[in-house]
Amino acid sequence: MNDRFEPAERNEHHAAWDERLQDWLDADLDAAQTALVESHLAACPVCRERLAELREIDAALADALPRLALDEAFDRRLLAQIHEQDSAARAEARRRAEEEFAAGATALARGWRRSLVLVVTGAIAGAALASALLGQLEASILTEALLTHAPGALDQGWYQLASTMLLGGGIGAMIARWLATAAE
Amino acid sequence: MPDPTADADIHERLRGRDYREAFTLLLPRYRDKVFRLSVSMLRDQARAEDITQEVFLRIWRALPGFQGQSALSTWIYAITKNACLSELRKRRPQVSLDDDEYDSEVASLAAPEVDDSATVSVGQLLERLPERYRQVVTLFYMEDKSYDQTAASLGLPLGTVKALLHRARKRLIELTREDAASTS
Ligand SMILES: [Zn+2]
Repeated sequence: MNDRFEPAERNEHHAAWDERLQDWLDADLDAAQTALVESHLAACPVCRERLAELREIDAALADALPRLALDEAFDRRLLAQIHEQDSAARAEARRRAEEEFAAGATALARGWRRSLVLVVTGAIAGAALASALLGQLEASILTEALLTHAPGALDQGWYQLASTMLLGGGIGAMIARWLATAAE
Repeated sequence: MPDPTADADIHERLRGRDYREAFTLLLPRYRDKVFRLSVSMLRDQARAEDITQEVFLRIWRALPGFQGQSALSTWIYAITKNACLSELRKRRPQVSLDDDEYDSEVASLAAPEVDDSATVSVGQLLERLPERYRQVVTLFYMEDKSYDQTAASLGLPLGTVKALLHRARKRLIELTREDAASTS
């Protein structure tokens, strides 16, 4: 029966039916197509022969290419590695946070030290300026007061000290602020 | 192609930033699919297992950045393909050096039973197929002849997968015939 086809015809026949035979083998046809292929197979030895070949290669491939799977041991190894990496990442993050904190603290201390230096310098400069100003302004008054109201001279001394401090503080603060902006 | 409702449970965990729970759901669902895709690309089970582990480590680290811009499965298979391709690039020079070892690895994967020296195993025939055919056939059989899963894993349209499979198996039959003709 096979020789009812010339080779060219045979190839044409294969081209027309092979895919459907393969689909039939893969159970990838609807009911109508399945019925069509099965009735053709019943009548066509060429396609039966081809089907046998397709079936053989299909079985060989299915044997050679099993449904591989990994097991729970794989999951355990993976989760252990994730845990390890996460712990390492957490330790690294902690180290970095501590470093940042330390750097911040140093910067803060440096800032404080600088502020203190500025304030002290400002205060001293302010006091010196104020006392110089007041000294010149009140030298005559003070001498006069000492001479005229001898018992109240001490009060006058305290008054001068207080006003020197007040004025010095004011000028000192201004100088400190100016020094701070100059230092920025 | 990918079902938009698939992995809804995982997406929900991701929206809630519960990455640990999302990963716990994702690992058993994708572990073997990633492994089989890796085997089909690398042709080496041991390496494929290593790559699968690497892929899931990458997934774990990248999970917070996954915005659902694509289906989760598409994202996972893309990561797998990239990992395999870079592994292949790394390995290429080595392969040409110890070809014998490589061939025996391939043969042991594709042909578990010992063959007569006269008959060529289907595994050896597979190696003579163009890479695209070989990969599709390998994955299709390892995925229990699922067109959908093969298409999803490879990121190819269903029609392309079917066409490649048809041509690949047809070619395998021709190779079997050629082989029989040359040995007889
Ligand atoms: Zn026929």
